[in-house]
Amino acid sequence: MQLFLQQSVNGLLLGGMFALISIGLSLMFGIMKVANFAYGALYMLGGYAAFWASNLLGVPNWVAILVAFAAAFMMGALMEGLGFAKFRGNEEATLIFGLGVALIARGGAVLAWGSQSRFIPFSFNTYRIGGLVLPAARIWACVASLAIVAGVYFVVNRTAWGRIIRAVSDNAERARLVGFNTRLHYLLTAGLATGLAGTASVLLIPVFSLSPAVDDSALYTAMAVVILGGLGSIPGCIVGGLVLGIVTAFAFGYLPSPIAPAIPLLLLILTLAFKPDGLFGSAERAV
Amino acid sequence: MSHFEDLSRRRFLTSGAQAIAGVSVIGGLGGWAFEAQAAPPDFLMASGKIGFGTILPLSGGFTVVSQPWIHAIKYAIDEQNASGGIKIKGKAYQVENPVGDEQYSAQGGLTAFHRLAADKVHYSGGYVSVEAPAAVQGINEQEDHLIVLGITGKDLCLTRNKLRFYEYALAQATGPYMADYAYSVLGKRRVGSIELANTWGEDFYFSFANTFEKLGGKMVARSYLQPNQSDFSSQISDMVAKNVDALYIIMGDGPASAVALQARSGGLGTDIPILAQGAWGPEMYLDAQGKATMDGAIYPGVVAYTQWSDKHQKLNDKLYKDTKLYLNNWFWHGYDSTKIVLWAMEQAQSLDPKEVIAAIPTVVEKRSGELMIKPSGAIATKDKGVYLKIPMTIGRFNAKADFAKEPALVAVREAKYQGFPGWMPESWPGYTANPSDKAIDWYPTMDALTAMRG
Repeated sequence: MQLFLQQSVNGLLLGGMFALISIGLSLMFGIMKVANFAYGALYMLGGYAAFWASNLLGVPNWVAILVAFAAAFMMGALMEGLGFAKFRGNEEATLIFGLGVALIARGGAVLAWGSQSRFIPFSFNTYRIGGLVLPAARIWACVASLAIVAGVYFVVNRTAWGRIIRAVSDNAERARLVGFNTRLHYLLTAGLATGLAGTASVLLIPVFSLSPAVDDSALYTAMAVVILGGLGSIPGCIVGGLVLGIVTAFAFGYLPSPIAPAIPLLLLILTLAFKPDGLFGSAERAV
Repeated sequence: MSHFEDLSRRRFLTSGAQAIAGVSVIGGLGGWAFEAQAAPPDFLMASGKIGFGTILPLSGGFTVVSQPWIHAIKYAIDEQNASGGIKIKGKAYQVENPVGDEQYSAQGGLTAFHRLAADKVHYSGGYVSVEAPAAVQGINEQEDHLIVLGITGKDLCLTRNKLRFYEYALAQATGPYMADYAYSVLGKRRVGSIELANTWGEDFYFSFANTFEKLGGKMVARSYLQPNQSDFSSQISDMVAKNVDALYIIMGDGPASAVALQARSGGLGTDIPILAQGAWGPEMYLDAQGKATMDGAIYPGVVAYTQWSDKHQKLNDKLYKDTKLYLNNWFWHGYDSTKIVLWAMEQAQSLDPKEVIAAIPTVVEKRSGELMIKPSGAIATKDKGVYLKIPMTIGRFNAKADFAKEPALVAVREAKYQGFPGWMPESWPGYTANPSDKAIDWYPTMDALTAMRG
């Protein structure tokens, strides 16, 4: 029973972290209708920005998070300005552009920084409550995840800017005719989305460490959560993350190791087969 | 009227003779051409130099740990070239070292190998993934190409291959000593393990487990590590629930760092020792968290890894200047083994890989004192190539060491685990049997090993 409870906690914490990784991609899907295959690369680069700020400049961890956000924001805005804006409407070109950026980023990171794992010292305490083991780093990441997702939801649904970007998402041409600067709002949205990815990276370094190879796992995780939760759905991001986290934790905790990795994939396949819009895809308005 | 009705017997015989003569000439020419192609190749590159290639990851996984290995091979070749190259039958040849990107994959390894073969390179070392050498083996014999391998695995280095020089310790030889140390010295009884899901990981698991369980210990939690896996919390929690008192990580580099990090924060504190296999080295201890998480990890390395001499200092300084990295186990994979092959060319007075590999045991016996890994000879098998007899030492990683001036691995106190044989005895049936032969004891216990050695 103790192990069952522990695996449940593991799953919830993992799910919270999955949601954190995915919120930026969900935003890009929801507002910009863009499948950004460089998302994982920007997640990785944001982490490195924070790592180098922390190690070379000795900045406190909260400043390192801001550095990661800013660096990833700028990179995302640049990608939008130089690439996604030009290829809007052309899905193949958008996909290839994203993949190309991802390849260059990964190769460049390996050449520049090597491929060994890096860490940022955060709290490495472990709390024990009634026999349950609760790593502090994971708890902090989950709390941050909930706060960030709630923040994004608030911004998108309750602020003036949120109304604007939803209008742009619904019909960009009409929004432009009404006088909104759609180009600017796309830039801000892309920057925000990738900035969130960079932030997620920093918060998860104490859990997963950082290397150029994290871009793949970040992208696959984000894609899986977004597919599960529903393209562009922020509540779906949380629920999808939690579901994926729990399924993953129980699969690896109770099934033979060779079979366990297949279970989350099976979940995705079933979702695509029976509810291709995701858990919250069609029931909820996008974002 | 048909054409054939005009054909007289005379014309028929004349035409037939001409046809036969023509076929004979063409056949003769073709035979000569075929004969020319089948003549033994000269084993030199188009540049007139000897090619000794390196196939290691330049992209993909394990790029940081492969850099010392890549440079080790290069340094060995540079030293040989600086001393005049390889002298064969009165002529001196310089050695070129083309580098191919293995990409830590079978496909990458194969592509790199074919490029080397096309450039008439007949020697290569490296091959760090299990998949790459597995893909190349067999093809290397067809191409008259000697491969120098160091990654253990029953299905990998114990298959038939006459042109394979295996330069490192076999898991079957080191695993029992690790198990014995964990049980007898550390007093551990319940080991949890996580291994890379391939033949390499399996070899280390069974070679450890069989001895550990024979001694009275238990392997209470066995799990696998998938290449793209980043979260290990479930597996760690399972180990915590099963009260493991030691964690055996059969994997190196980034994934091992992640496992160790999550183990320490997931309930396996620093009182639970880490037993390590694979690519572990100073690169994992370069920052504060790496030091805190993995300091003291127990690891079997070549003897040279635990020592420090002027030569170590020179090599370390050079490596750091070139790569910003320090000597690690993978450096010792490439440095002396390359020298052995180059010297074997001179010993054999030939560049034919078949003759060179046959000369390796003699070279090792004659020149062991010049090698830093201090091998005890080499075992020449009938059809599985040559195995270097390399002594190993169990040590503890000292994260507080100054890697610029001292070894990262400190030998344990007990003499039994210092300089122990990293090779299987000559009488071991594994040197002749098919790896799929279930009648063979592929993972003998420490007692069985000791009995075999006599």
